[in-house]
Amino acid sequence: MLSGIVFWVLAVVAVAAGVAVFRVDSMARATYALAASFVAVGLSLLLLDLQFLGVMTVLMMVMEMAIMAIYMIMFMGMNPALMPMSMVHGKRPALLISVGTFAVLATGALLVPWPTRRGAPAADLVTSLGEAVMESKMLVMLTVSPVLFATIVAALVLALPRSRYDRLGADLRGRADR
Amino acid sequence: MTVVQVSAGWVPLAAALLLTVATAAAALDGVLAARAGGRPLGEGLLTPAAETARLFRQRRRTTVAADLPLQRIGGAGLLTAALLMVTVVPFGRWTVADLSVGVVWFNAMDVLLWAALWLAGWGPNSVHPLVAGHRFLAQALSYELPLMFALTTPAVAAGSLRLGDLVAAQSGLWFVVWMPVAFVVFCAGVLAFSAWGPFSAALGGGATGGVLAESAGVDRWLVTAGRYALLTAGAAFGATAFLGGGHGPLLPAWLWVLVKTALLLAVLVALRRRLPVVRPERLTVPAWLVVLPLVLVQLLVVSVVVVVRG
Amino acid sequence: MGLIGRLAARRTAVLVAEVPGWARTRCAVEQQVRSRGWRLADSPADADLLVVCGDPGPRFAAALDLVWAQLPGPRARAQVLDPAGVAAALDDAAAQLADEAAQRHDAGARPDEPPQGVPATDTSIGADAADAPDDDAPDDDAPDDDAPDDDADGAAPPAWDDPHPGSTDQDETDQDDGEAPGADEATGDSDHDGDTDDDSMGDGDMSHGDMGDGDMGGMDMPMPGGIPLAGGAGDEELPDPDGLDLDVLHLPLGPVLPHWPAGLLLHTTVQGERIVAARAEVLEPAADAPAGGSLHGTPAGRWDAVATLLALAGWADTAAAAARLRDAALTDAVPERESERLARRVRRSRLLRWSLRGVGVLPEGDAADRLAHWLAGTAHGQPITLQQVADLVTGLDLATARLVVASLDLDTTAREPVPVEGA
Repeated sequence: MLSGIVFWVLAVVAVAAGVAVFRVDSMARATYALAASFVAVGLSLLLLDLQFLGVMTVLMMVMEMAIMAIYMIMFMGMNPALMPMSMVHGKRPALLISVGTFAVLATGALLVPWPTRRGAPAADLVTSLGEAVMESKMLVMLTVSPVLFATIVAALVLALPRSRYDRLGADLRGRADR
Repeated sequence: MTVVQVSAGWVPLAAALLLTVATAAAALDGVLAARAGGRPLGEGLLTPAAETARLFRQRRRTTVAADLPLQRIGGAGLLTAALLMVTVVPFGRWTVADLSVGVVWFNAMDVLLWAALWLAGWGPNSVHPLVAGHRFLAQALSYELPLMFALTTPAVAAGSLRLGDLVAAQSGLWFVVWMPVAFVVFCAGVLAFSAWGPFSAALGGGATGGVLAESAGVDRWLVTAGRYALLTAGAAFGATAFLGGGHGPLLPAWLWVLVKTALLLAVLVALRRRLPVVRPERLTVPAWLVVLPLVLVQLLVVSVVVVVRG
Repeated sequence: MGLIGRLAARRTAVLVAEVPGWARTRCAVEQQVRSRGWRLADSPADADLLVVCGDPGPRFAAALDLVWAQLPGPRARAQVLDPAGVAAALDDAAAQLADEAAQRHDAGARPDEPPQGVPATDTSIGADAADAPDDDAPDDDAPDDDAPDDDADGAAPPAWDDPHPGSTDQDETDQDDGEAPGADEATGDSDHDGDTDDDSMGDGDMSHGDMGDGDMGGMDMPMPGGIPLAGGAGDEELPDPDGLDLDVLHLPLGPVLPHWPAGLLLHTTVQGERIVAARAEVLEPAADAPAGGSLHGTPAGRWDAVATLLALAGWADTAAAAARLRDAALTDAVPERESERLARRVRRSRLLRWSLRGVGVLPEGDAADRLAHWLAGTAHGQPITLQQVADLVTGLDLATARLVVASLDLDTTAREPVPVEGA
């Protein structure tokens, strides 16, 4: 009963906030509406007893949106709160793509013959899930993750060799050596 | 010692307890300020009450073309995050929410502050709060990763993300003894996400009020109170994850938690007046090049110890 | 007065505005504030009392009126002309604060909508700041025309007066690209229960569109809240070091700003948080200041400079200690032991040195060096012009610029060149 109410509240919040992303007219509101939508999704994962995934979703998404807002403002160079602007670009293709994707996924979800449960769930779900997914490839996975991380760091280092303070010191005058 | 989850009816009491301890922290800050100003110390004790009365008597104010909803969501976010943080911290034998991922929950709540302080700065549509909000995010990029690894360390040692298990794992030896670096980094992280002391550049450490430059009345109170509540929540978590939680001789477990929290909180509050503010743009380099490797080494040492011990 | 009022009075926050030449009066106010257990306010929004030290000239007085309009209320205002009158003036102001009937009347008489500044279109701030002229600013410059009686609504073009007032959603027929003048949420919110925003106090708003470079053509753009949009930087601005095209804003710093030289008004053009152009001037007092009002070149002046710089560096304890030493120096001699202890403590702080190193570099040294000289008492006057101040802060972010200005310890009572104490 209680979890039913919680689910519906979270579901409505998630969808409403998702809609708000496209209806509000400021970058800050759109960004944080998206964050709110993701937070609601993350919390609804808690209902499935996916506690780690749920809390992680909240953590990652809030962090991500906070940074995304900065980038949006940085590149749009727009005055905060002052300039109302449509958050929708390329409406028609975007609408087509999103409706199409939704239709495909929804039909998939409805038409796929879902398997019925055989046996009981293991005592430690996370561990057994991990073993089921990558038991034989554990070594590969262990190697891949540091390599991936190193790649990200290396790409960042290459893309941004020196920060503005490195190039110019505390005094940011002068032309950047571009 | 097992931790039991209490019914939801206790939640208001837990919130009241957090606010009481936070008020004590504000009173301590008042006393320290009175001492620095050469005033009788007793005068400082009334600071939280006097400041609350002043701000509740004051009118709120708005600015031209402000984004009020965002500003107020951001302003209320600090206190909210603090209240959500302490839900997973066991108070002796009891906890409000016995989450199996308590450590991650705490971390997720401190990330909420990224949003809260930035929104509080964005909302007023005014230069100084806006800049301060952005500066807080710049600071967050410096402190968050070391803080995350500092939080991971006790979890690795206990083999669990549940705070009750962290406490149980410290029945012999407190974690602070063999992971001092993680503890210090964690405390710095608490100061940083509360925008306190050396990391208060975003909340007016020195110049023109920071995020609060345009806030008055109850809006200002919420942020100010939220800051003390955050420090308190951070101290409570630190006392639990590093200082053994309820473990200790003679006294009951809940009293030990309270004593340890109060001591850690007092240290954090006192640091404010003893150190100058670190400018966020100068913080990044040491945070990433010195602190992060240090805390990673700490994590490695702890992991090796855990593996060797079996 | 009820319990709430009596409690609130214990923490009265005071915003002090110093007119050039009344430094002694300002110190007396600060000393009184401390001895009453009150505190100094960070910004007008934080303040209960506005205390004006000295006799401001017309432009300074106009700026003070704007700051006064920004105090949230309950509020009171006082003017003090000499150190002897401070206690009485503060008593009087405290009584005003406690008078609830008068405060209610004051609150009722204030406009619901926050007053706002005039766009920079009407003035030459933008061009002036960019060209960094050395002429005396005309009297119609900055703070005066930030007057709150500005008719903002009349300036808003029809595009902003959209056909769906009160609606909070974008109209379906709006264009696909940005800049669609849809109904506005941000400003349509009528929940203004406080008041005011404007600057002239450095606590500025975003209201100054950059019309200094005319190619932005403000008139066919929507003006939310009657405020023209900020535009990108023109040719005369500094290039952004990261290659971003951020909007430029015109932000006056001063003349009423805590830990700021008396009467200094720094017209800055900021891009992001970085000052790309600056022009400094000093707002004059109405009458000549009393002789001996300035502290420069005295031990008290040195400790005042130390207290200011430490307060801006965010080191509360030592700033308070330095302020106490300054007050001691004003009445009799500086206690030798305490000053020695404080100097040692400040010198030992590596965090502070790290924070001040490389800030405000003059040929003689940087902010950390100047602080060391003040502490050692070996400082001597070095001439510095307002133009140099403007040059020094150009290219810095706002917080660093505040540190630089504080580290120069400007004497705004002197005509140019203004002596600065340095090595």
